[in-house]
Amino acid sequence: MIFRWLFGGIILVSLAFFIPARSVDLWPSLNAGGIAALLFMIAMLGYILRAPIPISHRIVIGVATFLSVAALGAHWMGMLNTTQWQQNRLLSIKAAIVRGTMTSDAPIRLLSVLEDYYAQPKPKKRSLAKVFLQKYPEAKVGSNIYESSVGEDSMRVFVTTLSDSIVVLTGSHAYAKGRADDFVPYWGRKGALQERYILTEKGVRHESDN
Amino acid sequence: MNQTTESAVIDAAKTRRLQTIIVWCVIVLCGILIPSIFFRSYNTTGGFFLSPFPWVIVGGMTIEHGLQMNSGTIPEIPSIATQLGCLGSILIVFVIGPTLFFFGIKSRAVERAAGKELSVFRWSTLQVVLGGMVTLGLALISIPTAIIQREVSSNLHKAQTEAENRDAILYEMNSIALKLYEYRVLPKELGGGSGSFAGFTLGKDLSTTSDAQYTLELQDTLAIAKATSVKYPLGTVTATINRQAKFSKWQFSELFN
Repeated sequence: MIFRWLFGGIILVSLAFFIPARSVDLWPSLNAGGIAALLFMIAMLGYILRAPIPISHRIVIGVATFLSVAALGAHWMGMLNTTQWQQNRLLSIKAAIVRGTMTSDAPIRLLSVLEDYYAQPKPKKRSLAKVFLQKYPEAKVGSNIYESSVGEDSMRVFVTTLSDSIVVLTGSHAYAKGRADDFVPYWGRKGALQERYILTEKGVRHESDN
Repeated sequence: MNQTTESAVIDAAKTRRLQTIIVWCVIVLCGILIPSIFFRSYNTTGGFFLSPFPWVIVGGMTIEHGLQMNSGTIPEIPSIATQLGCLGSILIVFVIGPTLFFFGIKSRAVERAAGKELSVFRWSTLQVVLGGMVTLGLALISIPTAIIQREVSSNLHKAQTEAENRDAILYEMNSIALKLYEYRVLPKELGGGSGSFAGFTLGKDLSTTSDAQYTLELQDTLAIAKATSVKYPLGTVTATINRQAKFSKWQFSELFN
């Protein structure tokens, strides 16, 4: 009888384990296997805890098993929730750092251009684009004006519009995740975050694309 | 006849002693082997593993994948060996161990009820020993482990939520600094200060957010911004902003330090 139960349990749990599609995340397989194992244990205990095992022993075994399984289940679920939350936090921290870096870089460049623009004696002769090009002579539409202070960096700040009345800088990151996974950024991996900073004569406007 | 019976009794006693020694050897061997297999170090780069808590290993992989994604690497699908290790661990912990143990208990109860003369070295003893090593071992550590895990998880959540609030405050203070810079640069006809901070006020959207309340003290060429966390009232951040929206003299309350 024991071999039937062993064989049945192994088959049941193995089948359940391989039901979820094979993916990077092992949790679905582990959870499916765990649920099958729990059902198996309940059925097995139902079969085992009968005469001639004395009632007092049955109660002790049943309660001890329930407590152990409940504690293991709590540990299991706690680990699942905590690690998935931590993974999401890691990604959101990365996104927050990148957005913070972009927001302390690109708008200041544009405000500095705006400062120079309004510092011109009246009547103003140079347009926003000209003042911008005076500060960044190499810049053209599509060029990156961000220089990392820490060596290799996956962040870029591109000039995406450069006209007399408007200058747009688009901040992108190679892989830092944005809000929508299907967003196609100006540069970088699909789903990457993107921020835009728009300079006009009225000031700098910030738009978060993803 | 008597001599034959006596010799048979002595032989039975010797056999019983030998069986007891063998059973104890098996117990000691299992006691050494099972934990050493279970608790050997697992290399998270992949491969076969056996663990009494496979969910801890899989949790480690989840964090590792997060770190990989954070550095721009796309995580790989775990190898078949890793998957089999995970399955093997569940089978040992929840199927093989308990089945051996509980069926061993049942067999012993049946044997006792039948009133047989029991040998020490019998199948049900081995079942109870082998299954008990896994089942009782896990049962003993399951409750304290669950309590510790809950405590660690709770502390982690608290620390990270506080850090998240502080980061949000820093981001919002940066936005205030940019607005202040913009105000100073813009001419009066466009709602600016024409080169001065004088007259700048924090709008409602900047002075109170879901993360903090902000106040701004304007001086000639500087401004002092102070944030008081809405979520953690003991959390405050103070900094000085210059004419180009650059920060200096950061001061954090103990909670945010």
